[in-house]
Amino acid sequence: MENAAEASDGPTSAAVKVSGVGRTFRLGRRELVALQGISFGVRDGEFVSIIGPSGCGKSTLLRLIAGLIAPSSGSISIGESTVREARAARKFGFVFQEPTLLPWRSALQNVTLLLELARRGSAAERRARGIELLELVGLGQFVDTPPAKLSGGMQRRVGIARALAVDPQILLLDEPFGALDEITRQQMNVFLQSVWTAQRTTALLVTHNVGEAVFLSDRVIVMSNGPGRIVGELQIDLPRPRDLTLLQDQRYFALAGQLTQMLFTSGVALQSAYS
Amino acid sequence: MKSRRARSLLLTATAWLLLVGAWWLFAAHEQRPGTIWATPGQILGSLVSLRSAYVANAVVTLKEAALGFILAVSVAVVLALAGERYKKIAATTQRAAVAIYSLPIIALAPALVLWTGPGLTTKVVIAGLGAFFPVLINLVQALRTTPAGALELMQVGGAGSWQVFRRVELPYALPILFVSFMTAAPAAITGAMLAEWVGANAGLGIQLLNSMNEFDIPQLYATLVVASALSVAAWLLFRVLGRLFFPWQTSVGAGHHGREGA
Ligand SMILES: Nc1ncnc2c1ncn2[C@@H]1O[C@H](COP(=O)(O)OP(=O)(O)OP(=O)(O)O)[C@@H](O)[C@H]1O
Ligand SMILES: [Mg+2]
Repeated sequence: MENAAEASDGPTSAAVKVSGVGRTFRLGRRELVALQGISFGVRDGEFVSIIGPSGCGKSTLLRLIAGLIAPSSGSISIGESTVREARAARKFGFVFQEPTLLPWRSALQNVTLLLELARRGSAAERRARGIELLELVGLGQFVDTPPAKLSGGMQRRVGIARALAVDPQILLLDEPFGALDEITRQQMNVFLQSVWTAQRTTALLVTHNVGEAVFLSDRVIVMSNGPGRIVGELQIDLPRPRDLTLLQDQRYFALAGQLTQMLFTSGVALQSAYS
Repeated sequence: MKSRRARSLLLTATAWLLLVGAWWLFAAHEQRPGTIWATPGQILGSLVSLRSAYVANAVVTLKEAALGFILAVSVAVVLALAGERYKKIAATTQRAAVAIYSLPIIALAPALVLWTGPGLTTKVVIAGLGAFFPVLINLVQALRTTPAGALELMQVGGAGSWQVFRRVELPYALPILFVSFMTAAPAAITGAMLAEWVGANAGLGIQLLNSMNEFDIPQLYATLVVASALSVAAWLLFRVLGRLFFPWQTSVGAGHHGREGA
């Protein structure tokens, strides 16, 4: 189970199903196989993390699932629908690896942007929802601040609030807390868990951080590079809700250690990363 | 911040003073009949005594330049947007624009006069030709280089192509459009003056020609000063407007550093 080359599809109601997906990029005359033979499923309401070395194709995988790029081979379905249909129905919330905030909009206007696009609610309702979300991510004081005057971590949190604003069924998070300090990161992890519990969303989180993956996930998928592929999977059977006391729990340590070991024995091609 | 600004102003003022002083010394010592130099004092004198002529001619040239500029911006915006919407015609319009730009305006002007007569049209068209190219290439480039992340964000949000244009592509392109105005507006003024050389009754270009023919060297230089002042004013206008309309443009690069007025 744990080190199966292919992660399991999970039980019947798959929110996300990725079947034999590969993606090749053309770099000038060279072809780069970014992903090869990726198959896994995410159950409805499940929290799954993807962990793997830099450049193994994690961002590419999230982009494929959200339909921002098309797979070179294989197929992806979102529940009963295609990726394109799911996107048209605004099922995705995407937290990008870069903050990607629009510089002429205030924090609040950035959060409500996608609601405006969807013409959801009145202007006053959107505003109220935006303020509520900014308060949730600890930015209640910065509602009218433009992105250029926010710190990197604060910009990240605006990005998270923006993704949550559309009440997504599937939350795709690309290293959302990568730029945060350890304390804020742990607070954000607790926050993300509560949002995920409250909204009953399905979550797919890309991370570099073993502790974060264990703390948040029901299941962790381990990837390796050269070409990007799945090399293992780890079930996280820790009780929920989880709080920060878990970080001193023996079971937490055991799972984190297990995951670290999987990462290091998975044939990560370090030389290719540094050549 | 304040002191750095003050220092930069002081430096500019000093440079100007030195330049004018050097000019004055040089011109005063080269003063012979038929010489090509006029002292700053003579130039100033001409500006004062012929002030109504300078104003009248400047108004004529400015009108031609402004109409030409508006024409150029309209055509360039339409072409750039059309090229963005229908990618197939983009390459064709680009090539046509380069071809037109590579035509020497000075050679084109007489031909245009033959076609349209020596009226306002010629001046407007030639002024427009000077302003057209920088606006077109900058706008095309700006529309093409919308940050990929912003486009992906709009895609996730299920935005249609009009929404993408209005919410992201246009706001990212507008500040760059205004930067292109900073070069296009002075180019329109130069173009208008050039067009006047081919045939006109009034305008700074004509005043330049007349003062040359009459060997009124102070007037010649004074006309140049007026023309440069107009160009600088046009440049400044769009710089100020750009900063006013798109304040984030200056704050993007500046990050967390203090800004003027912040
Ligand atoms: N648009 C693209 N064109 C060409 N190559 C690409 C493109 N996007 C990604 N790649 C390549 O695909 C590989 C995987 O990139 P990806 O961004 O998915 O990695 P990642 O796992 O997210 O890395 P990191 O953890 O550093 O963010 C890299 O080798 C990258 O160069
Ligand atoms: Mg990435």
